Amino acid sequence: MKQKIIIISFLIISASEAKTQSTIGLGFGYSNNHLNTNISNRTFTKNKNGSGFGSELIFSHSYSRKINFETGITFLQKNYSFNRTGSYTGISEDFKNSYLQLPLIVQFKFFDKQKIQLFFDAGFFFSYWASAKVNGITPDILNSSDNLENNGRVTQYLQLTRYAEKYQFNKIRDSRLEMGWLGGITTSYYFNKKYALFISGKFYQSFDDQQKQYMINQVPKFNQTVFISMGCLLNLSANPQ
Amino acid sequence: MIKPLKYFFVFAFTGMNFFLSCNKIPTFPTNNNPKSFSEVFDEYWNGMNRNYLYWDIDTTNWDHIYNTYKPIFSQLDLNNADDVKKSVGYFKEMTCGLTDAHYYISFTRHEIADSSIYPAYDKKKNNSDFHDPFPYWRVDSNYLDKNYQLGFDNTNSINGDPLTVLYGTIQNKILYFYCNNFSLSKSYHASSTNDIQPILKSFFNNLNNLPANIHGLIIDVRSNYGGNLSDLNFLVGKLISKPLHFGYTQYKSGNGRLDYTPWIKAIIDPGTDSKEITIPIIVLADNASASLSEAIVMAIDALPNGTFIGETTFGATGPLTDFNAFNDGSFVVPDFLNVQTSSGKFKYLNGRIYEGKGFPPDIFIPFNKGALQNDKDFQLEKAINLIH
Repeated sequence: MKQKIIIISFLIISASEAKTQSTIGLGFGYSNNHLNTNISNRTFTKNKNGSGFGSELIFSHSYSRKINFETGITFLQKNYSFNRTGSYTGISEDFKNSYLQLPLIVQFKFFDKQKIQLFFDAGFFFSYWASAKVNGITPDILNSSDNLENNGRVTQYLQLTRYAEKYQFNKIRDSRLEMGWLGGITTSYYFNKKYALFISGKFYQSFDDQQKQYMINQVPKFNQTVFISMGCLLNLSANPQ
Repeated sequence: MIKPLKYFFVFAFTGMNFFLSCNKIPTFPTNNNPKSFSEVFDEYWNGMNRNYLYWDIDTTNWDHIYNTYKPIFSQLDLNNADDVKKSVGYFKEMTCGLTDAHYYISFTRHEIADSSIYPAYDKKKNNSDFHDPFPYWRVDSNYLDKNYQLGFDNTNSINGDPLTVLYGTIQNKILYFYCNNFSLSKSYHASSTNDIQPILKSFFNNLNNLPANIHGLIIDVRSNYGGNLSDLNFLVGKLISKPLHFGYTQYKSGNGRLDYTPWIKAIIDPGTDSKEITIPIIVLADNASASLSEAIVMAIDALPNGTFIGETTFGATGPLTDFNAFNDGSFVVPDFLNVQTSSGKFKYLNGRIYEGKGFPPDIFIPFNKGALQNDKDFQLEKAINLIH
């Protein structure tokens, strides 16, 4: 917690000392999340990345000709699923997690020619696990039937059933605040001094377990998210020319 | 570079390295054959931690068990027969408070292969009203009209007792069906002929073409330990013409102690060509009726014309199946023990979980061994009177 306060303080102080241009922007894009955990003990089960979407409201402040500070509010889906394999193919559980995220980014400009700018992005993010849905297909253990096979054996078949529900957060289990680092590349194309389009690719790595520490020998779960977005930027301190 | 920015980068990359180094995912030990008691304990404790279903309602503090018993097991020698025998007592202590009434440990280690642990039975046998299973069919055949059918199937037995089915009418007004375990579908579908098949065909034919003189149906699952899950659809499916929602099931969805799927509706599908039975249906059960018997009792009780007479059931309501189906429930500590535990939790329609407690009857009539020994079955008589 102390570390989080120090980082925020640094950025606020740094931003207040800057006296150059400010930009706002809006972006939308595709997210792909991996839940980094260990399920090797779970038989016939594959941990599959989840696709989703995100949108971001960007506030950027140029600190110098090479350096920008960027923050904003990001809505980001961090989805994942567990899919059964082998003779259990067809059984799955999909988690659709919605996060509200505050990124604190330093952008280093390494290319600036003919209206095109390229930046390296690095920083931290803080996010709040706002809501989640869980969809699944599972065997219904109490809905099964026997069938006489050609070899004379009786085989039991479990019917599959679907569910789709709002995820019920558990105060003991779920850690809804997440912090992590991010890195990425952003490119922007300036039509004029006021308007620009951007495309950005960022990788978010959570430091925090998705669960509270509530038991001995807990297997942690960390979100690792790629977010590719595009959108427009508006320079607040310039007139279009 | 401007000073605050320089600090930021230094802080950011130091922090990144620090957190990355913390961001490690542990691997699971692959102790196929534990070499020490410490490894036996770890395999068992972690197996329970990940696979046991009732951690959200269980009163056993599993972390406390770890802190208390890990040092004790570390002191034991796996090659010392006395220590191996002593360990059974520790397993008994660790599991005595567990909710799961299916929970059962059998030991595969040769020194203790004759030992087992059954916490639910140990708890219940001390209750004054608890009784051993009783072969009701011996008494109840006296209540049936002369043309009753009694069949045995030795290929489907539980605890050495063959599948026993008794079917007939009572005073030509009531259909009566009894079975001592649930392997009905298996017997019915068996490629070889057996006593059970004609009885079931006769029973199902009568259900499909209910004679006008029949005013009620009694299904007797007293002292029935349960059996194959498919018998739920197979039997109750014959009583309904549309899907019956009678409760909810829940499974583990991850390695966390509290990782669960949502509660999923438990539905019984009607059998092919089955007709809705609208006459009163009474299910008889006692405190030795367990597992699938309890599911049958709850399903019939969920019917608008269903009534449960007898005693509170055993309380092993969570279904059992192969570990691979749900990645939870029963597991093995190689070369030492097998744990049988529920694969799913069951919650009845009213939102209550009866695991470990038992499902209470609508009309309580206690077990009366003295009366039964004199061919008097008060529970069955109550059911007959209720239908009349």
